[in-house]
Amino acid sequence: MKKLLTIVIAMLALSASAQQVECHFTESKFIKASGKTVVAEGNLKLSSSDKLEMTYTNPAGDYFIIDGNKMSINLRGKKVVADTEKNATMRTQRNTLMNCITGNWKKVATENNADFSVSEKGANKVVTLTAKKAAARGYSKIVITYRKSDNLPVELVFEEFNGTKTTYKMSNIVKK
Amino acid sequence: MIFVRLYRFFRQHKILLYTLMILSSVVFVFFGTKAKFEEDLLKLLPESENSETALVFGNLKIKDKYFIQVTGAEPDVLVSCVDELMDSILADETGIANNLYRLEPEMALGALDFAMAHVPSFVDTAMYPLFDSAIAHADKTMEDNYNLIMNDETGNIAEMVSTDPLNLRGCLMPDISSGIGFTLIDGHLFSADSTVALIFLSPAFQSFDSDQGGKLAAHIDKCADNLQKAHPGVEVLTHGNVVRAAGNSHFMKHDTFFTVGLSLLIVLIVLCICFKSFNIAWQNLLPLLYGTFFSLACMYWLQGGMSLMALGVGSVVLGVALSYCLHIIIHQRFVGSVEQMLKEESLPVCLGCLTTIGAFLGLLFTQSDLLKDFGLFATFALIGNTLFALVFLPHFLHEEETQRNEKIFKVINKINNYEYDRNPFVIIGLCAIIVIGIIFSGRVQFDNDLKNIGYESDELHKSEKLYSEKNDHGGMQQYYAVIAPTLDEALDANRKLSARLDSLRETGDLIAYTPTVSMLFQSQSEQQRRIDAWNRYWTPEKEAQAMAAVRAAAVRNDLSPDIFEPFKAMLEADYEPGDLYNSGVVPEGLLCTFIEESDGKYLIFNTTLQDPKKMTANCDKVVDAMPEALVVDPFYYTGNMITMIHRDFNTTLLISSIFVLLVLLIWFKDLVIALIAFMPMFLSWYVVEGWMAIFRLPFNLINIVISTFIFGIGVDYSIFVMQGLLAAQRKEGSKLLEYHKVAVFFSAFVLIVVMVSMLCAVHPTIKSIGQSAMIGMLSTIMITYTLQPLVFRWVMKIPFMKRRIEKF
Repeated sequence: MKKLLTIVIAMLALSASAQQVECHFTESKFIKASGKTVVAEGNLKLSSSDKLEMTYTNPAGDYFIIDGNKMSINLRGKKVVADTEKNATMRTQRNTLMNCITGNWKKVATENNADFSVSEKGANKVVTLTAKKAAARGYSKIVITYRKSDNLPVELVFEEFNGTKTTYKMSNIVKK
Repeated sequence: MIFVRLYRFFRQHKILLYTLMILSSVVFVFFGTKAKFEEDLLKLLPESENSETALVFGNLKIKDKYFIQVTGAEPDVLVSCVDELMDSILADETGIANNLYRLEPEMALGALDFAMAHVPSFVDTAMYPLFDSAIAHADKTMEDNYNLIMNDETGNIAEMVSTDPLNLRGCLMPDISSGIGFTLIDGHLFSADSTVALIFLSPAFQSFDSDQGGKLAAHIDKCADNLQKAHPGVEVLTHGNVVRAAGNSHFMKHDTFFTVGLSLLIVLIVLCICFKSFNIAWQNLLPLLYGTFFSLACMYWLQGGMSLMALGVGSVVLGVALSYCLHIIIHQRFVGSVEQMLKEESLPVCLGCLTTIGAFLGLLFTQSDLLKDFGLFATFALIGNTLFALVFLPHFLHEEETQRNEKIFKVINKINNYEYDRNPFVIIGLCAIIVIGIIFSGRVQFDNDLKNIGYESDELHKSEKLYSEKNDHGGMQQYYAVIAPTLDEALDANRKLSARLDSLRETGDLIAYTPTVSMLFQSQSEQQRRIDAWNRYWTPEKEAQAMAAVRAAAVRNDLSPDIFEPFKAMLEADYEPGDLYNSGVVPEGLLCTFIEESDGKYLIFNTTLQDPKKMTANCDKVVDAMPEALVVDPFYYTGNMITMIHRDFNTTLLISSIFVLLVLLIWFKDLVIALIAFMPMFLSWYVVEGWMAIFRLPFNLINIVISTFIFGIGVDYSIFVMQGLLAAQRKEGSKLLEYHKVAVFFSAFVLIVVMVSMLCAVHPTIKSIGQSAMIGMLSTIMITYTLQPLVFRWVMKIPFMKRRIEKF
């Protein structure tokens, strides 16, 4: 019976991870050093557990694509194609983003050496990850707000040690 | 007479003869075609006893780098051209180990990541006083930081400033970018003035593997041609050792085919016309082919193959081999009897062959593989050719076939029968040539620069010049390296070499040198030493002092002091030594210009720029004197070796001379006659040396072997002429001298045709052989036709000598 349950759970997990999600997002980057806020927006598409496409409509042409271990970035004219297997920073960035969106926040905590706390706020669940130790690079705090009904993220906040804070807000979320 | 007996035996057993001939031919062709050819100029040199030097000469990729330059358009066009070219080149990656033409932004991110994780490893202990100064000038730096941050639209600069508010990075590696020395446009490597896009390829084979190199060069040339057609105005230039070796090999093959093919064609046509028979063509050709394949098969059995250059030079030997066939065929046509021909010719032909082989075998005493290859190839080719000519060929000669073109022979006889030895003008002229030759012989130059032996195209020169002008500021790159069994030992040794090179730069011996490797790569022990120094410097008090200075400066410049937490974290972090070499951060194409692992040893390279006018022995010697340090220039180590081979060669000539003189003494059984027969080759050597000095034609390692050829052919002619003179003196037949002179005439004609065709060659080595051999040939013929009979006649005037000679 225990074995059967394990198989069912595994199958459910697989089907959940294989779900396709599309939504609109806004990105707001607050640079504490200068007090400036840089705003962008676009569409997000999660095709599978290792394929994520963020296509910017503003600024148009920019993109952020994760496809397996490959990460392709075109932000403000700077293009990078990185193999996340070879590049530790990129790997952390990829895993953090993918795990945040797919609801694996415990993995995010491990990856970023962070403590976590979970709270509820209306129809949402708020997961707060706080870095255990200050570092020269990485995130001091990550806040993920999931929709309780389907465990999909509606807001992501990434705060760096220098105070720079990037917020993603998702809307028109469609599950396929 | 063994060859007469053999002739009689095989005449009775024709099936056995044909079976033996066909079987042996099949075997020699089968194994001869399996011989592998390699084209390695360094094979000219003795094998180094120093394994480290041998390593430098061997597998290093850095010396085999393939340089491609794309120019003739705006930088943005060149960027797309380079991408297009590389896409087409890499469509077939065979033969390419790695490439470097652009630095991906990913690499910068990876490098920054690694640097942040191992900051102390990059801080030389000498830099800490600069840190003190940076802390003291926090206010000024913060002012700059403010401007940077306020102009930052992405947050990237803010991130950098928050990690390094004191601009310590400015103290760390100010010259790293100048050390790499290129401009980056859209991530692509360009010359400093952005006019030339640069591509570096590392072949997956050694540059002297001309087969692979030829294929790669042809592939790249094809891709470059397509690009140039698609983008008029854009020019693609290539250079490097692979390009050089491929061109060298191409022209060596082309010229060998051209010289051998053309001269054979001319010779055979002339012979067919002279003897009014087509048979004479294949009668000459068969022994030649048999001897060539016999030799190639022997080379295959002995050592698996031979040097392509030795084969090219060996085309001269084919001329000598052909002359033996001519002696046999022409003599048979004069006497009309194969047995009589064999009786009269087999001994002088064998003797000529033996002395020529003796001369060529002298090359086996040298230490150079290429010269040994040449000596062996020539020896086997002559043995195979002569055996065929004396054993098989007589059965294909028809006794009734004696027809010839009388008009041509009338002219030949007129030339041959003219008594040059009785014409005072000819004698005086020849003596003058000899005396002048002897006087100037000491002044002949020996070019010991191995680079001059190889072929270099104009395009290659143009590419090298452009690269030097754009990137080396007219200076010349010279690589120095350290070698050690482990990376850490190599890195430690490299620090010492770096310090020495830096001092050479300060004294002006080097135009430029940036210790890029020493700045980027440190041994584990050195890193630990630096981490310890970092921890000693960044005491809690020092950290507090620095943070206080940063915060105060931030407040004064309207910046939040909180944003500098990453800097604090960097100062407080625990560090461990890293392994940049194996981190994967530095792309392979760039890494191999710094460090290379070869045959289980690590080599670290340092690039310097030197003034080509005073390119210098001094720096090379200073480096060479350091333990574990090497000059990464195979040609640096060749100077002494070439002088050694030159000296070696003089000994070889002496040994060959003594050998030939002994054979002549045994054969003629008279010292005076032997000396007269020896005279043409002895004197012609001085004529060659002297007149090459007058014409300012230098000897090199290849054309000096021509001396052995002059030895060989000089002895042959003098033996035949001496045989004829003796026969006439002993009243054994006055016609013998005439027959021999006709054969010598045709032999000389064959060789002169070969020499002239060599003069038309493109490859400098083959051309230089043609030049020196031509002088040698002409002087040998003139001495044999003039001085030899003159001296013989004088000797015969001595009653004692006359009686003695006629008695034999």
